[in-house]
Amino acid sequence: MPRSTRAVPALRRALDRPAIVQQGVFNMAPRRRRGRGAGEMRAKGRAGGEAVFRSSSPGETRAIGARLGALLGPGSVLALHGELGSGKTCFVQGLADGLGIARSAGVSSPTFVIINEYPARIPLFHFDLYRLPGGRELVELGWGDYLDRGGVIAIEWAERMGDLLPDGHLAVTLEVTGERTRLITISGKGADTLAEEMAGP
Amino acid sequence: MLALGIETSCDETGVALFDSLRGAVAAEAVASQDDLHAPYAGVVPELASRRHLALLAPLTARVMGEAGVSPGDIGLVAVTRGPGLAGCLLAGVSFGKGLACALGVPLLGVNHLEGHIQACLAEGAIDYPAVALIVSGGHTLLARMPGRGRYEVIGQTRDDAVGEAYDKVASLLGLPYPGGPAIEARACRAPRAVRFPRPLIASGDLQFSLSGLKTAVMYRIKAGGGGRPPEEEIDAIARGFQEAVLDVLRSKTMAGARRAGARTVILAGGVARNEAIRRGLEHAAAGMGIRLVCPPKRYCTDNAVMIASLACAKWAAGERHGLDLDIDPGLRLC
Repeated sequence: MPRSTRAVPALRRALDRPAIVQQGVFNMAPRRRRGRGAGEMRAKGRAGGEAVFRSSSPGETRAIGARLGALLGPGSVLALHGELGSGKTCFVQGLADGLGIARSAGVSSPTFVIINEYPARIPLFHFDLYRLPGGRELVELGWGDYLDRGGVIAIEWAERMGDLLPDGHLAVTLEVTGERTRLITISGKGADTLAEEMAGP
Repeated sequence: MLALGIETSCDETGVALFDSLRGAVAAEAVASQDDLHAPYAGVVPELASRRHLALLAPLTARVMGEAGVSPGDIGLVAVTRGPGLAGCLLAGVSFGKGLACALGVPLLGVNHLEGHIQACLAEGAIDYPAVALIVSGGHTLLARMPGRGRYEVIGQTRDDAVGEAYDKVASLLGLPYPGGPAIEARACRAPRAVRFPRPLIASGDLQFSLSGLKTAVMYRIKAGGGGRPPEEEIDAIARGFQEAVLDVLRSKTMAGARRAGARTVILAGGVARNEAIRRGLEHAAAGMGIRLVCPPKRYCTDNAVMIASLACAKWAAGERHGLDLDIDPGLRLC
């Protein structure tokens, strides 16, 4: 199967069902809230394949990551964008929570080692291109092999990958909107449906 | 016995000859990033394993030439088998295997983190129990050592490593890479310090978190209008950041030492080159009647001397590996 068609299988499954396009803003926090002092987490679905969340603490950023992580299937690729300190690693810690990876596994910054692997039913491969000038080095580090290993791949500083990002990946952009507050936008095909699923009970 | 050490866990390619009888380095070489960056006119991390491969043979020849030894004099080949980047480790381990095979001598793989601690042992006898703080670009961990070669990790970072925090804060401030020396120099000349939070300092455990401190620096810069702050403000931020890092490292390390009933505190890893951190920990340890031991600055960063020397100790203790030795990128200290 070509890579481009299986990048986000969970989303593809979701897309097989009639799409519900969310209108307006709704609260997604109520019962399964994980973060401490969770204020509001809101998701806004847009017809253009985008889900927008507002986080007002690292704990909430992590909780939003966990919601997403719980919905991802093998082969999912997430491209994370955002300046230094915007919460990319924190979001990936949440993804790990959502994938059922124990907190004791200690998901930490992969900046120095470029790739960290966390074994699980669906393993997490955490990439960080901060120190890489481009995608060529990534190929030498075995990028192609990781795509075939049936895990969730999360890539920080993914803009440096150029055209190595597979079609069908999800882009997660973390924008600093104030002290502690972040606007988290998940975009890509099926992201609006994802917003609906993430907001579910 | 003469051991040839090979270190390729990350960016640096290191080769060294260590004479275990004399307990002395016969010759050593580290291909630093600086040497290699020149042709690329920029910072290109030496990540690609092929670059290690290209450097290993000439460095080995250079080291042997400098020490005036022939291949037949080498009695043991020592390699770093983890933790580190898989491709980079593989380059060193494969080269070591080839060499050991060709020379008909044994091969021994060692733990890179233990290598950093080994770099301290040349500084005199260690009184145990000890606690070891390893701080570098990729690692921030605190270990209890009941005796030589025995480790129990009692604390580590939840997010960024200390060296990584230095590099990223330097980047936020528009200071050059590597960030450690740049921030230290700015902090030294600063008449005032910006007050930053001390993450997890009151958490009651021995875990570290540096990411929030980096973010606090980011907010400070944004509050000043974004862009590169005035020079005096850069100095004050650098000093404030370094004071916060030192406070956290000192507090956790001393708490660990107290709990472990430590008689020695070991400080190792690339960040141990930082004078303020060395002095700060030394002072705190002295206040508790404990000796601080850290390697000479040149052996704080990745090098092959620590690998060769550690392998000699392991060999003497009866440790053996075959040519089927495998790398372990996630190798832990235990």
